[in-house]
Amino acid sequence: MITKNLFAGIFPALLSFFLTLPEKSYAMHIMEGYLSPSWSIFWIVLAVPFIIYGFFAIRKKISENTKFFILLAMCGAFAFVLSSLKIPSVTGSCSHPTGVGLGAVLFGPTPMAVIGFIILLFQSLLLAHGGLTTIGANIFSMAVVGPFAAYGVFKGALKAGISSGIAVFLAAFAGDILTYVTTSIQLALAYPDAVGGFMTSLWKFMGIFAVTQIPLAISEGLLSVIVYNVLLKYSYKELNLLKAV
Amino acid sequence: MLVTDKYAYTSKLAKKDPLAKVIFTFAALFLCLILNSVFVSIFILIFFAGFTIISNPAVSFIKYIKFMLIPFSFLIMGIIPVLITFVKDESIIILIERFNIGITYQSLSASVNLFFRALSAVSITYFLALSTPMVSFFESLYKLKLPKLFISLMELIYRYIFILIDEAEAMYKAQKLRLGYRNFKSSLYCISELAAMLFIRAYKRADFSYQALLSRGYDGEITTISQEYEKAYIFYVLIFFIAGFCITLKAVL
Repeated sequence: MITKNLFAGIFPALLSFFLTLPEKSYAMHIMEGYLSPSWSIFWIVLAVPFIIYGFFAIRKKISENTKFFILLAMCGAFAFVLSSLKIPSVTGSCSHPTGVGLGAVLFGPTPMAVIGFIILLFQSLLLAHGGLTTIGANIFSMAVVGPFAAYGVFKGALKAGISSGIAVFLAAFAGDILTYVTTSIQLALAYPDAVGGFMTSLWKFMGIFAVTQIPLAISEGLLSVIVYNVLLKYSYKELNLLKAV
Repeated sequence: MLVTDKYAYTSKLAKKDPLAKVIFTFAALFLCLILNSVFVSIFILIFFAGFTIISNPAVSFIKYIKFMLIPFSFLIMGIIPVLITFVKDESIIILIERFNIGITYQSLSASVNLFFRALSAVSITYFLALSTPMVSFFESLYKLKLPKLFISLMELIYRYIFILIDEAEAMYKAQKLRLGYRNFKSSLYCISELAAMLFIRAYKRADFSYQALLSRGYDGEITTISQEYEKAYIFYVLIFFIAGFCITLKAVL
């Protein structure tokens, strides 16, 4: 289904962009070659500790139970497929979810850095979303900041006595919004405005991407709640094993 | 859905040493970013587009253009904030006079530079993606001595992606046949149920896979036999020529 629509969607996407309603927009992957070498390396250096930490956390869990490895791989594949589904956006167009919020709620934020890295690598090589040089920046916004924010909001909301449905919505929403803000900051740092500097540039980037990202955050929040409720109904045991309830 | 994967196997370079291709790609990317000049970018774009189209019989010119259009929406959205800026006096076009918003020479040259640099970097990545099947790519990672666990995780995820896509497509068809995706609400429900069911199925699959692996002596490590690849020193030579050409191009222009 997706193969056929992919090419058919490009020209409408370009056309509708000028009507300020992109037909399909991937999450905010910074494209290949967009960042200068120094910024690319800076973000890679910043992302590496999280990946190493996540890697050792995974290794420890696997040494306890080898099944966790297979489970993690399946979850990674699920997250990849999830991010390539098209969800209806509240503005009437379609967009792809990031899966950041749901992933963080289900698997916790630590392994998400490693899974996120693998998914971003696959996306850049198989789908041409994101890139090899910008992978550090993308990992930092989508596999570090987003999941940690989503997880924090989820746990905080549960502690505050909010029902788990609303907590999931808030988590997914916060995950998406913070990913979008982080990416905007990364772009603004790399391309500050000649006159206004960093802040002006940040407002420009946030303004232009808000068109796609805020409707996406709302849609993805709704999607995550429904998914979470279905999972709670049918696979409470498995969720318990993953410690997401 | 996996756009480039299918074509990577048809490339004439598919059997060449993957590590050489990976090093070649990263060297070219580094060169393209560090030189940061419009003419170098255009040269790299033409070179890599030509190289990919010639080396891969399944990728025609039109198909290549279509590939290049995939990242375009980000490119346009990413360039507009660089292009449009607050103008002091030396502007080309003033869009909104009241707030001094317009395009300056500086912002125009910066965005043209960025446009071609990003496109040429994309063409370099497409060279790797359209000439190296993922399985060979993993081989190169083994040679780079990355942790085995990490590469095994990548391999398994790659394998499972296809299984889950098949299931997702079957479910999508079934929902569509039963009048799913009629309007916003129904679309949201259908896609959510699809995602939830996909997760449940994935979990079950993981169970089955684990049992299958256990019965074959799995102990936390997956070992595979590596394939034989043709040596490809030509890539190391080629990168020196490209580097030399690009640096002279940058110095002359």
